[in-house]
Amino acid sequence: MMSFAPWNRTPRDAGADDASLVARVAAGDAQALDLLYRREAGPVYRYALALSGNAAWAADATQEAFVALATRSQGFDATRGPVGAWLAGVARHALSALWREGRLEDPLPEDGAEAVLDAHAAAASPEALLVRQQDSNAFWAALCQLAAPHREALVLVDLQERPYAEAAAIAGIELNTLRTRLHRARGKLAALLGAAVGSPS
Amino acid sequence: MTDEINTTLAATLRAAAAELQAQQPPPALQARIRAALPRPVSRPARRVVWAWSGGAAFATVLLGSALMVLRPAPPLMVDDGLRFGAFVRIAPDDHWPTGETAAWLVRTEVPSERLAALGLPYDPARAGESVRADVLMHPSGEVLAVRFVP
Repeated sequence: MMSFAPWNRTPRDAGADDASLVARVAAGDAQALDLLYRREAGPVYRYALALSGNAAWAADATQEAFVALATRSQGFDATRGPVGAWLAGVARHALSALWREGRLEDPLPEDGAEAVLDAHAAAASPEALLVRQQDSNAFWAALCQLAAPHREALVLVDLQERPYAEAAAIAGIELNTLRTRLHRARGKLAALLGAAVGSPS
Repeated sequence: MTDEINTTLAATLRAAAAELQAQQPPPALQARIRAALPRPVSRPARRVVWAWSGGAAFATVLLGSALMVLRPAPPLMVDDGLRFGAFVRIAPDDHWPTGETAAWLVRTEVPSERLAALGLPYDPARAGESVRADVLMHPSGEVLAVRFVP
């Protein structure tokens, strides 16, 4: 079986220590908040976007995470993981609250799918765009059909390329549970995509 | 699961990851976060920046910190009713920087009349005069403490 090792991992900016940055944010240091935002807002937003499929909810969840960092930073413990994982965890709770309230009925509404597709709409031939769009539609539709825990594992590890330990911390599960969920998610996804490819168009 | 399916799935996941990576938070989100904070965060006050370049301020902090740590506080002196040498705490404890955050020590001059606001004696007849002071500042611009120097 081939490896699903993370690819194109972008090294984190380790220049600024998480604990001191968070302390500065808690003290009202706008520059520290800007630095953390530039470094972490993208991954947190993309995690929330991939989970919910809704850009507005993803932005709300990201906002909730950063506001929590500035106002309840005592909940962050640098020894338990990077601040990015903590922010993603807060965003996850925010999304969970929306789900519990029933405000997130469709985990991947059409707007979200289109937003994802728009990013590569340029610099490609119409034919390539069509193929890409069909593949992409099939993928995101299949992702939607995964159970939420499986979808989350796949988003964290395969789409966001986070280390297993960090992904498990964000999801609040044991490492072995994450591996199990990821294995099942990949299998289910492959089956769904295979069925989509094999089905008459 | 066959290798062929795995290869296809891996390629699909790579493409999806690239699509997701291209997504960015809305440009207005950072401003929304700032607006949502209960206590607005502010950049260092311009009244400090105009007088001190970043390098000079940093050097002052290093020098001031070293002096405070290595040298015992000078004895209190009374001169014209002013108390020199001791820092007067202005900001509450929870406003002081924590961790490795440095404070800025800035030499400045303040109107004598500000002494009364700090609970220090001063001569009203000299209210219009200025007094030299060391101001300890948080990076956000908040004054943490002040001491007057002869």
